[in-house]
Amino acid sequence: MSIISIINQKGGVAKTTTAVNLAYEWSALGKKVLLIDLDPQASATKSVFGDLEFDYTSYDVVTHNASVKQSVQHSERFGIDVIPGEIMLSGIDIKLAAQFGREKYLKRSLMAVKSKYDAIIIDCSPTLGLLTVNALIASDEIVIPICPEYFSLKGIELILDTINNIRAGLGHTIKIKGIVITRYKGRKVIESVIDRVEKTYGLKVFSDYIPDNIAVEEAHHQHLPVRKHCPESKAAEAYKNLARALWR
Amino acid sequence: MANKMNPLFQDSTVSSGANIRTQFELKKVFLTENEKMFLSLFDQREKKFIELKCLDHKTGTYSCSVWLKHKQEIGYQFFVKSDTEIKGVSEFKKGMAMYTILEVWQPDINISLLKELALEVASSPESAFIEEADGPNPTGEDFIENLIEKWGL
Repeated sequence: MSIISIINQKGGVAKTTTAVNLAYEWSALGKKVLLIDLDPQASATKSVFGDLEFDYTSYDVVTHNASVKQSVQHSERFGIDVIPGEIMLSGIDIKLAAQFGREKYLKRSLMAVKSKYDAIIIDCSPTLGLLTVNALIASDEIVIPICPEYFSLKGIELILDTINNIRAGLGHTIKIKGIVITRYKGRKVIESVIDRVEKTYGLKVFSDYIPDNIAVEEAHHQHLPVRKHCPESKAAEAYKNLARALWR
Repeated sequence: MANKMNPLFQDSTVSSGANIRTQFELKKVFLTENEKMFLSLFDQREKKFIELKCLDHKTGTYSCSVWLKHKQEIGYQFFVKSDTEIKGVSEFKKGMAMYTILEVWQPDINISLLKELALEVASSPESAFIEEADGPNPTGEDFIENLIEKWGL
C-alpha cells in the first residue's frame, strides 16, 4: 500500500486530470483505490461527481471533525472511493496553525484506513501551506505532473526544496516516483530539458507523455475517466500505459 | 544570509531544546582506500568528531547521525583524513539542529587551514571522537511523539 501525492506548486499542469485518471486506471487493474481531493477548488470532486454536495469532506478529515469512513463517497463510474474537497480547505492554515501536531493531522486520520486500500492518491492544492505539508507528511511518494509550457528547472527545484525542507524540519522522507509530461503537443524543445532533469536531478521522467487532447476536457464535463469517455483517444491510451508504469 | 527557518517546516510536536536525532548527509564524496570522512561539530558546549559512513557509493553519499537539541544553534564542517594527514576540509557553516542536514562536499585544500585543523584534531581528547547516534532517544523525550504515532492521539 502506498500513499501518493500528485503535486506541483504551479497550477494548470493537469494535476487533477492525472489524479482522477490514475485512480480509475488502477481501479481498472483491480486495485482498491481511494482518491483524496485536497484542493480547495475541488476540481477532482467536480470531475467525478459534478456539482453534488457532501456532508463531510476532506476538510472534516484533516481537522478531525469526521472520520475517513464518514467522509468517503463511492463512485461507480470510476470504481473508486473518494473523499471530496471543498472551498473550506482554503481556511485550513488558520484552523490548524496553533494545533499540536498540525502537520500530521491527515496522516493520523488515514492510519485507520490505510490497510483497506491498495493505493491512496492525494490531489494536492497548488499553494504551499499546511494543507500541502499535511499531504506530503501523509505520503510515501509523489508524482510531479508538468506541462511543456511551464516546464522549467526552477519549478522542479521548488518542489525539490519543499521535499528537502520536509525531510530536514519534519523528519519525513518522501520518494519522488517521477515526472509526468502532460498537455504534450509534440514539441521537440522539451526533449533537451527532460534530458537535463534526468541528468541533473536524477529524476525519472515517464515516457508515456499525456497529449493535449480534447477528450480529456470532454471527459471532465461528462464526469468520466478519459478511457470510458473516449477509449480510442491518445490520452486514454497514455493514461492506461502511465498507470501501469507507475504501478511497477 | 540570516539563519532562518520557515515555520511551515517546523515540527510542532517537538519543543525547542528536546532531543532529536540529526542526520548529516554529505553528497559527492569519493574517497580512496585509506581515507575517511569526518564531521566536526560544535554544539556551543564542545567540539565533537564523528566518522561518516558510506550510504551510496554511486552518488558518493556519506552520512552520520548525532543526538542534538532541537533548534539549537550549531556549527559544523566536514574533513577528509588519511592515516597521516588531513587532505581537505569544507567551509565552516552555522545552522540549527533539525532532522536532516544536507550538504555537498566542496573541499578547501589550503595548506595552512589543513595544518590548523590537523593540530586541533591531534590535540582533542579521545572523548571528542564519538560514535554515531544509534538506538532510541536516550532521554525518552520523544515519548509523546511515539504515542501519537502509535495511537493517533
